[in-house]
Amino acid sequence: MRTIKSTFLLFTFLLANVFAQSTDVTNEPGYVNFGDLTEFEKSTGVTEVILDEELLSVLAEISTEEDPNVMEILKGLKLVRANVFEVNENNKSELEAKVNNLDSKLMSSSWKRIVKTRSDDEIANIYIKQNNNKQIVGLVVTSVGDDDEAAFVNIVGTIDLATIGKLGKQFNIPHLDGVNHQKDKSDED
Amino acid sequence: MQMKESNKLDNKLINKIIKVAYGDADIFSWVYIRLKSLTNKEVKLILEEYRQTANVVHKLKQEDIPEHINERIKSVTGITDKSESLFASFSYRIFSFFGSKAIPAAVIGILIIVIVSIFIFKEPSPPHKYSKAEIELAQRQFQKSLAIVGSAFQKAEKRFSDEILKNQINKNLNRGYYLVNNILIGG
Amino acid sequence: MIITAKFDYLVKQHKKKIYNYALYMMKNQMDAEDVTQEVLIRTWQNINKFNFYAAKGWMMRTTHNLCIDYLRKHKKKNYSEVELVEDYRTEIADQDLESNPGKMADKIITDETIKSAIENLPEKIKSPFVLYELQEFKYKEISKILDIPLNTVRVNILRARKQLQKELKNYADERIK
Repeated sequence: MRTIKSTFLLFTFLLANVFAQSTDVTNEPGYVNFGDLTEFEKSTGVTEVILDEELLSVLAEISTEEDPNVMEILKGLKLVRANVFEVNENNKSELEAKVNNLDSKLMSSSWKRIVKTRSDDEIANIYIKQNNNKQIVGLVVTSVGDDDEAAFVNIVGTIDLATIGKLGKQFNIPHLDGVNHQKDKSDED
Repeated sequence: MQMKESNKLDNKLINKIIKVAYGDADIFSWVYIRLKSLTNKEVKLILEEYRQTANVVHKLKQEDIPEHINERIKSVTGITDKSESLFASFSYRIFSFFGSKAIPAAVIGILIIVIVSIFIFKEPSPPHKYSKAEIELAQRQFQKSLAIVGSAFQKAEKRFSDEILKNQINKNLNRGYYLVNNILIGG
Repeated sequence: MIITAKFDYLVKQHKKKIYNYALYMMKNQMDAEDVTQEVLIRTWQNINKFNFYAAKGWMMRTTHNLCIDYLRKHKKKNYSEVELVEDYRTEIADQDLESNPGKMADKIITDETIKSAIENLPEKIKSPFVLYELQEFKYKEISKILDIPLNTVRVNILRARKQLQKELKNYADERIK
């Protein structure tokens, strides 16, 4: 009986490891479980993006020739997840509540909120997770916007915000140059 | 004394006959009783009687559990037919298959699986081949995701420059951007 | 999810055994249903407390103990003989028997008689007999379920076989008369 038990446990452990290879990313510190978003999937405009490590490495290989900056971002990534929903009268308050819930969850679990914007029409939050070496290993963006779109994005892996800044123009991402410039000015003052 | 000994023998013989009739005697008893029944009518008779009973006993049909019991259990546990995960049920049945069989067979089965698992560990699986369409879609999706990130930064930057910097009120956000610029980006 | 699957699997595997064992012990359907229901509910409540290998033995042990408790608390007369006949109607799949009503009648009587005779065995020898002959448990498993020594299991099964044969012989003699 003991033999069966120990070999069974060994088998289960090994098998779990084998299967665990494909779901390893959920154990990453930069991974966030957004919880149940199925109630928002009933609306018409729904986009779900899941790019795993394997696919991201294929994109990185292709991008080497086209754009080395994209390749640089891609090579350290393990997962890119995005859930985008159409915002309407029926779901706006629930989406905002979801954003606020996630905010509480992330703030209480060693994520750092680096951007929080809130107005009547829109909410946008950006969070980062750092490891012991101060490297960013996770990025989360939650937004409910005036463009009738709500988004939940989680990027897992080694993230270089500076490189994201360089890509700003290419994908309509701000370079953060404006902020640097303003900061210098305020220093002088 | 002799009578007691013969009774004892009779009892022993009868016990053997019963075991042979019910099918759980060892091979030696089986052979002995079968041979004995050929020459001893009483042994043969007793064997036949017990065998008839044993056959009926072993063929007795089990009653099905009433349906209302199943319903009651479902209502108490909250389990519906849909709540059973196919994978969980399948994997549980696999485990039960190995558990219900003989120990040596189970151990051999497990060892084979362990060896195969080790091979899986050692030899990486070949990469999935993506079609051109899949790759193009993935590229667009990646760009969309980064665009969302960028849009959030853009909103923050706009508010910062238009409202906050002008008024120089929100020191916390300033600190946030200080963090982003100096510590994270190293500006 | 795995707990649900575990419970579902255990119920599917063992509910018939539990119910039929309870039927033989309680001798009436109502009490057998109560016992079965209680065992399954307790299995659900304790699903995390036993491992897969121990489940079968745990469930049967619980069934046996509940039957004993019920029998001690509710001493009822055996009013259910007629009920038993209705419930224990044997389905005849054998075409040869269907075409021969006389043979069919004999078979029905034999099945019901044997069931009745098993039910009337003393509880001490009935339990291991039912578990071994009808539920196909092994001696070692029965020993654990009933919490009796292995040798006692063997001896009681042998006694049950003898007693059953004696009962059937008495019945046959009465029929001849």
